[in-house]
Amino acid sequence: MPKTKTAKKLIEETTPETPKDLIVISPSEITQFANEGGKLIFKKEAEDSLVKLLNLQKLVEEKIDEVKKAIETAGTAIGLGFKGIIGERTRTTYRLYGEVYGYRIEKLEELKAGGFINEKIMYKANSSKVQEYLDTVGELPDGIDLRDRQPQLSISLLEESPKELENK
Amino acid sequence: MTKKLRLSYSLVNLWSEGKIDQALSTYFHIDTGMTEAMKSGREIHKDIEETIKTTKQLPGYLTPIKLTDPKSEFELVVPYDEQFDLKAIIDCLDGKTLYEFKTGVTDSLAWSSFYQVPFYFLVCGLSNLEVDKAMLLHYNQHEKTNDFVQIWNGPRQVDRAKNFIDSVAPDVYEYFVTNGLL
Repeated sequence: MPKTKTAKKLIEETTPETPKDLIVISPSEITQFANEGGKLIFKKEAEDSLVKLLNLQKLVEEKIDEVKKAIETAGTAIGLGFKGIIGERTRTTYRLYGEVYGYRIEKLEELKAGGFINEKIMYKANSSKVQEYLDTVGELPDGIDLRDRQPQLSISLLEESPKELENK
Repeated sequence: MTKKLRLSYSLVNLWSEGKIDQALSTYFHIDTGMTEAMKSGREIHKDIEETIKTTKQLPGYLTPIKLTDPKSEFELVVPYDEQFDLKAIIDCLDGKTLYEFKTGVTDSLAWSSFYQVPFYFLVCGLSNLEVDKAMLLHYNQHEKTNDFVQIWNGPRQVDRAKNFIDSVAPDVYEYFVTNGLL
Protein backbone atom coordinates (compact mmCIF):
# COMPACT_ATOMS: atom_id res chain seq x y z
CA MET A 1 0.00 0.00 0.00
CA PRO A 2 1.47 3.43 -0.89
CA LYS A 3 2.41 5.57 2.05
CA THR A 4 0.05 8.54 2.47
CA LYS A 5 1.52 11.87 3.48
CA THR A 6 0.29 13.51 6.61
CA ALA A 7 -1.30 16.95 6.24
CA LYS A 8 1.60 18.41 8.19
CA LYS A 9 4.17 16.86 5.87
CA LEU A 10 2.27 18.04 2.81
CA ILE A 11 2.03 21.60 4.10
CA GLU A 12 5.71 21.61 5.04
CA GLU A 13 6.58 20.50 1.51
CA THR A 14 4.28 22.87 -0.32
CA THR A 15 4.93 25.94 1.83
CA PRO A 16 8.16 27.44 0.48
CA GLU A 17 9.09 29.29 3.63
CA THR A 18 7.44 28.05 6.75
CA PRO A 19 7.63 30.88 9.29
CA LYS A 20 9.26 29.81 12.50
CA ASP A 21 6.18 30.42 14.61
CA LEU A 22 3.59 28.85 12.30
CA ILE A 23 2.04 25.56 13.42
CA VAL A 24 -0.14 23.06 11.64
CA ILE A 25 -3.32 22.55 13.65
CA SER A 26 -3.43 19.23 15.42
CA PRO A 27 -5.10 18.80 18.81
CA SER A 28 -2.31 16.59 20.13
CA GLU A 29 0.33 19.09 19.02
CA ILE A 30 -1.61 21.94 20.60
CA THR A 31 -1.75 19.99 23.85
CA GLN A 32 1.97 19.34 23.55
CA PHE A 33 2.70 23.03 23.00
CA ALA A 34 0.49 23.92 25.96
CA ASN A 35 2.27 21.41 28.19
CA GLU A 36 5.63 22.68 27.01
CA GLY A 37 4.64 26.35 27.35
CA GLY A 38 3.63 25.74 30.96
CA LYS A 39 7.27 24.93 31.76
CA LEU A 40 8.43 28.51 31.09
CA ILE A 41 9.52 29.00 34.68
CA PHE A 42 12.00 26.16 34.36
CA LYS A 43 12.94 26.23 30.68
CA LYS A 44 13.69 29.33 28.62
CA GLU A 45 13.00 27.42 25.39
CA ALA A 46 9.42 26.76 26.52
CA GLU A 47 8.66 30.30 25.34
CA ASP A 48 8.77 29.11 21.72
CA SER A 49 5.81 26.82 22.38
CA LEU A 50 3.93 29.60 24.10
CA VAL A 51 4.52 31.96 21.16
CA LYS A 52 3.18 29.32 18.78
CA LEU A 53 0.00 28.99 20.86
CA LEU A 54 -0.51 32.76 21.04
CA ASN A 55 0.00 33.10 17.28
CA LEU A 56 -2.52 30.31 16.73
CA GLN A 57 -5.04 32.07 18.99
CA LYS A 58 -4.57 35.31 17.02
CA LEU A 59 -4.92 33.49 13.71
CA VAL A 60 -8.09 31.67 14.80
CA GLU A 61 -9.65 34.91 16.06
CA GLU A 62 -8.81 36.63 12.76
CA LYS A 63 -10.27 33.74 10.76
CA ILE A 64 -13.47 33.71 12.83
CA ASP A 65 -13.85 37.42 12.10
CA GLU A 66 -13.45 36.62 8.39
CA VAL A 67 -16.15 33.93 8.68
CA LYS A 68 -18.50 36.46 10.31
CA LYS A 69 -17.89 38.92 7.47
CA ALA A 70 -18.47 36.23 4.82
CA ILE A 71 -21.74 35.11 6.46
CA GLU A 72 -22.89 38.71 6.77
CA THR A 73 -22.09 39.42 3.11
CA ALA A 74 -23.91 36.29 1.91
CA GLY A 75 -26.88 36.89 4.25
CA THR A 76 -27.38 40.51 3.31
CA ALA A 77 -27.06 39.58 -0.38
CA ILE A 78 -30.30 37.60 0.10
CA GLY A 79 -32.00 40.43 1.94
CA LEU A 80 -31.00 43.45 4.00
CA GLY A 81 -33.17 42.19 6.84
CA PHE A 82 -30.78 39.30 7.48
CA LYS A 83 -31.02 38.43 11.17
CA GLY A 84 -28.94 35.26 11.31
CA ILE A 85 -28.44 31.65 10.43
CA ILE A 86 -29.05 28.68 12.70
CA GLY A 87 -27.21 25.45 12.01
CA GLU A 88 -27.09 22.12 13.78
CA ARG A 89 -24.34 23.20 16.15
CA THR A 90 -23.93 26.91 15.65
CA ARG A 91 -26.06 30.01 15.89
CA THR A 92 -24.85 33.09 14.08
CA THR A 93 -27.03 36.02 14.96
CA TYR A 94 -26.71 39.72 15.61
CA ARG A 95 -26.52 40.84 19.21
CA LEU A 96 -26.87 44.34 20.51
CA TYR A 97 -24.65 45.50 23.31
CA GLY A 98 -24.96 48.38 25.72
CA GLU A 99 -27.88 50.49 26.85
CA VAL A 100 -31.02 50.60 24.66
CA TYR A 101 -31.79 54.28 25.31
CA GLY A 102 -29.65 57.33 25.66
CA TYR A 103 -30.50 60.95 26.46
CA ARG A 104 -29.47 64.45 25.51
CA ILE A 105 -27.86 66.38 28.34
CA GLU A 106 -29.76 69.65 27.63
CA LYS A 107 -33.03 67.81 28.34
CA LEU A 108 -31.77 66.32 31.62
CA GLU A 109 -33.96 68.28 34.05
CA GLU A 110 -37.06 67.77 31.93
CA LEU A 111 -36.40 64.03 31.61
CA LYS A 112 -35.73 63.74 35.36
CA ALA A 113 -39.02 65.49 36.11
CA GLY A 114 -40.86 63.12 33.77
CA GLY A 115 -39.29 60.10 35.47
CA PHE A 116 -37.47 59.08 32.28
CA ILE A 117 -34.07 59.41 33.89
CA ASN A 118 -32.91 57.85 37.12
CA GLU A 119 -30.28 59.65 39.07
CA LYS A 120 -27.53 57.34 40.20
CA ILE A 121 -25.01 58.60 42.74
CA MET A 122 -21.70 56.79 42.62
CA TYR A 123 -19.09 56.91 45.36
CA LYS A 124 -15.55 55.83 44.77
CA ALA A 125 -12.53 55.82 47.04
CA ASN A 126 -10.09 58.59 46.12
CA SER A 127 -6.98 56.41 45.67
CA SER A 128 -4.39 59.20 45.67
CA LYS A 129 -5.86 60.85 48.78
CA VAL A 130 -6.07 57.50 50.59
CA GLN A 131 -2.49 56.65 49.59
CA GLU A 132 -1.30 60.05 50.82
CA TYR A 133 -3.07 59.50 54.17
CA LEU A 134 -1.63 55.97 54.42
CA ASP A 135 1.89 57.28 53.74
CA THR A 136 1.57 60.05 56.31
CA VAL A 137 -0.40 58.39 59.13
CA GLY A 138 0.63 54.79 58.55
CA GLU A 139 -2.87 53.39 58.46
CA LEU A 140 -5.97 53.56 56.28
CA PRO A 141 -8.56 56.27 57.02
CA ASP A 142 -11.36 54.94 59.24
CA GLY A 143 -14.02 53.44 56.95
CA ILE A 144 -11.66 52.65 54.08
CA ASP A 145 -10.56 49.08 53.63
CA LEU A 146 -8.28 47.25 51.28
CA ARG A 147 -10.11 45.23 48.65
CA ASP A 148 -9.26 41.54 48.29
CA ARG A 149 -8.15 41.56 44.66
CA GLN A 150 -7.22 38.23 43.12
CA PRO A 151 -4.36 38.58 40.64
CA GLN A 152 -4.81 36.72 37.37
CA LEU A 153 -1.89 35.77 35.22
CA SER A 154 -2.11 37.25 31.75
CA ILE A 155 0.04 36.43 28.76
CA SER A 156 0.66 38.72 25.82
CA LEU A 157 3.01 38.69 22.90
CA LEU A 158 5.71 41.33 23.07
CA GLU A 159 5.63 43.26 19.84
CA GLU A 160 8.89 43.09 17.98
CA SER A 161 10.50 46.45 17.24
CA PRO A 162 11.21 47.32 13.59
CA LYS A 163 14.94 47.13 14.42
CA GLU A 164 14.55 43.52 15.61
CA LEU A 165 12.59 42.62 12.50
CA GLU A 166 15.31 44.13 10.29
CA ASN A 167 17.92 41.91 11.92
CA LYS A 168 15.97 38.71 11.17
CA MET B 1 -58.27 -0.14 19.08
CA THR B 2 -56.77 3.08 20.44
CA LYS B 3 -57.98 6.15 18.63
CA LYS B 4 -55.23 8.47 17.49
CA LEU B 5 -54.98 12.16 18.24
CA ARG B 6 -53.85 14.50 15.49
CA LEU B 7 -51.28 16.96 16.82
CA SER B 8 -50.54 20.24 15.14
CA TYR B 9 -47.77 22.57 16.23
CA SER B 10 -50.36 25.11 17.43
CA LEU B 11 -52.11 22.53 19.62
CA VAL B 12 -48.89 21.34 21.28
CA ASN B 13 -47.50 24.85 21.63
CA LEU B 14 -50.63 26.33 23.20
CA TRP B 15 -50.84 23.35 25.56
CA SER B 16 -47.21 23.79 26.58
CA GLU B 17 -48.04 27.41 27.48
CA GLY B 18 -50.99 26.29 29.60
CA LYS B 19 -53.53 27.83 27.17
CA ILE B 20 -55.78 24.79 27.15
CA ASP B 21 -59.00 26.57 26.11
CA GLN B 22 -57.25 28.14 23.14
CA ALA B 23 -55.65 24.81 22.26
CA LEU B 24 -59.07 23.10 22.26
CA SER B 25 -60.59 25.89 20.16
CA THR B 26 -57.78 25.45 17.65
CA TYR B 27 -58.27 21.68 17.56
CA PHE B 28 -62.05 21.87 17.11
CA HIS B 29 -61.87 24.94 14.82
CA ILE B 30 -64.05 27.01 17.14
CA ASP B 31 -64.12 30.68 16.23
CA THR B 32 -63.27 32.65 19.37
CA GLY B 33 -62.98 36.02 17.65
CA MET B 34 -59.87 37.83 16.57
CA THR B 35 -57.84 40.75 17.82
CA GLU B 36 -56.89 43.55 15.40
CA ALA B 37 -53.34 42.19 15.25
CA MET B 38 -54.64 38.70 14.40
CA LYS B 39 -56.92 40.12 11.71
CA SER B 40 -54.10 42.12 10.15
CA GLY B 41 -51.77 39.10 10.29
CA ARG B 42 -54.35 36.86 8.66
CA GLU B 43 -54.94 39.39 5.85
CA ILE B 44 -51.23 39.59 5.10
CA HIS B 45 -50.95 35.80 5.14
CA LYS B 46 -53.82 35.61 2.69
CA ASP B 47 -52.13 38.17 0.45
CA ILE B 48 -48.85 36.24 0.52
CA GLU B 49 -50.69 33.03 -0.33
CA GLU B 50 -52.57 34.66 -3.21
CA THR B 51 -49.41 36.33 -4.57
CA ILE B 52 -47.54 33.01 -4.56
CA LYS B 53 -50.43 31.26 -6.26
CA THR B 54 -50.80 33.86 -9.00
CA THR B 55 -47.19 35.02 -9.58
CA LYS B 56 -45.19 32.04 -8.24
CA GLN B 57 -43.13 34.65 -6.34
CA LEU B 58 -43.15 36.31 -2.94
CA PRO B 59 -44.79 39.71 -2.55
CA GLY B 60 -42.46 42.69 -2.72
CA TYR B 61 -42.69 43.53 0.97
CA LEU B 62 -40.93 40.28 1.98
CA THR B 63 -37.22 39.43 1.63
CA PRO B 64 -36.60 39.26 -2.14
CA ILE B 65 -35.99 35.53 -2.57
CA LYS B 66 -36.74 34.02 -5.98
CA LEU B 67 -39.00 30.98 -5.85
CA THR B 68 -38.87 28.19 -8.42
CA ASP B 69 -41.83 25.88 -7.89
CA PRO B 70 -43.68 27.08 -4.80
CA LYS B 71 -46.56 25.24 -3.19
CA SER B 72 -48.49 27.33 -0.65
CA GLU B 73 -50.34 25.99 2.37
CA PHE B 74 -48.70 22.62 1.88
CA GLU B 75 -50.44 20.15 4.20
CA LEU B 76 -48.86 17.01 5.60
CA VAL B 77 -50.27 14.41 8.01
CA VAL B 78 -48.04 11.56 9.17
CA PRO B 79 -48.21 8.84 11.83
CA TYR B 80 -45.93 9.60 14.80
CA ASP B 81 -46.57 6.65 17.14
CA GLU B 82 -49.51 4.48 18.25
CA GLN B 83 -51.23 7.47 19.92
CA PHE B 84 -50.49 10.38 17.63
CA ASP B 85 -50.47 11.61 14.07
CA LEU B 86 -48.70 14.87 13.28
CA LYS B 87 -50.15 17.53 11.07
CA ALA B 88 -48.32 20.47 9.51
CA ILE B 89 -49.51 23.15 7.14
CA ILE B 90 -46.35 24.67 5.74
CA ASP B 91 -46.85 28.25 4.53
CA CYS B 92 -44.84 27.56 1.41
CA LEU B 93 -42.67 24.70 0.18
CA ASP B 94 -40.29 25.42 -2.68
CA GLY B 95 -37.99 22.57 -3.64
CA LYS B 96 -36.06 21.58 -0.53
CA THR B 97 -36.80 24.84 1.28
CA LEU B 98 -39.74 25.47 3.51
CA TYR B 99 -40.94 29.02 4.16
CA GLU B 100 -42.74 30.23 7.23
CA PHE B 101 -44.21 33.73 7.18
CA LYS B 102 -44.62 35.89 10.25
CA THR B 103 -46.10 39.34 10.74
CA GLY B 104 -46.28 41.83 13.59
CA VAL B 105 -43.59 43.29 15.79
CA THR B 106 -41.80 40.08 16.86
CA ASP B 107 -38.87 39.58 14.49
CA SER B 108 -37.72 36.42 12.75
CA LEU B 109 -34.88 35.87 15.20
CA ALA B 110 -37.31 35.70 18.11
CA TRP B 111 -39.60 33.35 16.14
CA SER B 112 -36.63 31.09 15.41
CA SER B 113 -36.40 30.07 19.05
CA PHE B 114 -39.84 28.43 18.94
CA TYR B 115 -40.36 24.75 18.04
CA GLN B 116 -42.43 25.38 14.91
CA VAL B 117 -39.64 24.94 12.36
CA PRO B 118 -38.19 21.84 14.10
CA PHE B 119 -41.75 20.44 14.25
CA TYR B 120 -42.09 20.93 10.48
CA PHE B 121 -38.65 19.40 9.86
CA LEU B 122 -39.81 16.33 11.81
CA VAL B 123 -43.08 16.06 9.87
CA CYS B 124 -41.25 16.43 6.54
CA GLY B 125 -38.76 13.75 7.59
CA LEU B 126 -41.53 11.33 8.58
CA SER B 127 -43.20 12.06 5.22
CA ASN B 128 -39.97 11.22 3.38
CA LEU B 129 -39.99 14.73 2.04
CA GLU B 130 -36.48 16.04 1.59
CA VAL B 131 -36.17 19.48 3.14
CA ASP B 132 -32.75 20.91 3.85
CA LYS B 133 -33.57 24.31 5.26
CA ALA B 134 -36.24 26.70 6.46
CA MET B 135 -36.50 30.41 5.81
CA LEU B 136 -38.40 32.34 8.46
CA LEU B 137 -39.56 35.50 6.72
CA HIS B 138 -40.97 38.27 8.83
CA TYR B 139 -42.85 41.39 7.79
CA ASN B 140 -43.52 44.18 10.24
CA GLN B 141 -46.57 45.83 8.70
CA HIS B 142 -46.45 48.73 11.18
CA GLU B 143 -42.91 49.81 10.29
CA LYS B 144 -43.02 48.37 6.76
CA THR B 145 -39.77 46.48 7.30
CA ASN B 146 -38.79 42.86 6.74
CA ASP B 147 -36.17 40.48 8.10
CA PHE B 148 -35.36 36.80 7.93
CA VAL B 149 -33.50 33.92 9.55
CA GLN B 150 -32.26 30.79 7.81
CA ILE B 151 -32.37 27.48 9.72
CA TRP B 152 -30.62 24.35 8.49
CA ASN B 153 -32.41 21.03 8.94
CA GLY B 154 -30.59 18.22 10.76
CA PRO B 155 -30.91 15.52 13.43
CA ARG B 156 -30.57 17.97 16.32
CA GLN B 157 -33.47 20.09 15.09
CA VAL B 158 -35.58 16.96 14.67
CA ASP B 159 -34.63 15.78 18.18
CA ARG B 160 -35.72 19.16 19.56
CA ALA B 161 -39.13 18.63 18.01
CA LYS B 162 -39.42 15.07 19.32
CA ASN B 163 -38.51 16.15 22.86
CA PHE B 164 -41.04 18.96 22.66
CA ILE B 165 -43.83 16.63 21.50
CA ASP B 166 -42.93 13.84 23.92
CA SER B 167 -42.95 16.22 26.88
CA VAL B 168 -46.37 17.75 26.12
CA ALA B 169 -48.41 15.28 24.04
CA PRO B 170 -49.11 12.61 26.74
CA ASP B 171 -50.91 15.28 28.84
CA VAL B 172 -52.96 16.35 25.83
CA TYR B 173 -53.89 12.74 25.13
CA GLU B 174 -54.90 12.04 28.71
CA TYR B 175 -57.08 15.17 28.78
CA PHE B 176 -58.84 14.21 25.54
CA VAL B 177 -59.49 10.64 26.74
CA THR B 178 -60.60 11.67 30.25
CA ASN B 179 -63.01 14.27 28.86
CA GLY B 180 -64.41 12.01 26.16
CA LEU B 181 -63.07 14.25 23.40
CA LEU B 182 -61.43 11.44 21.47
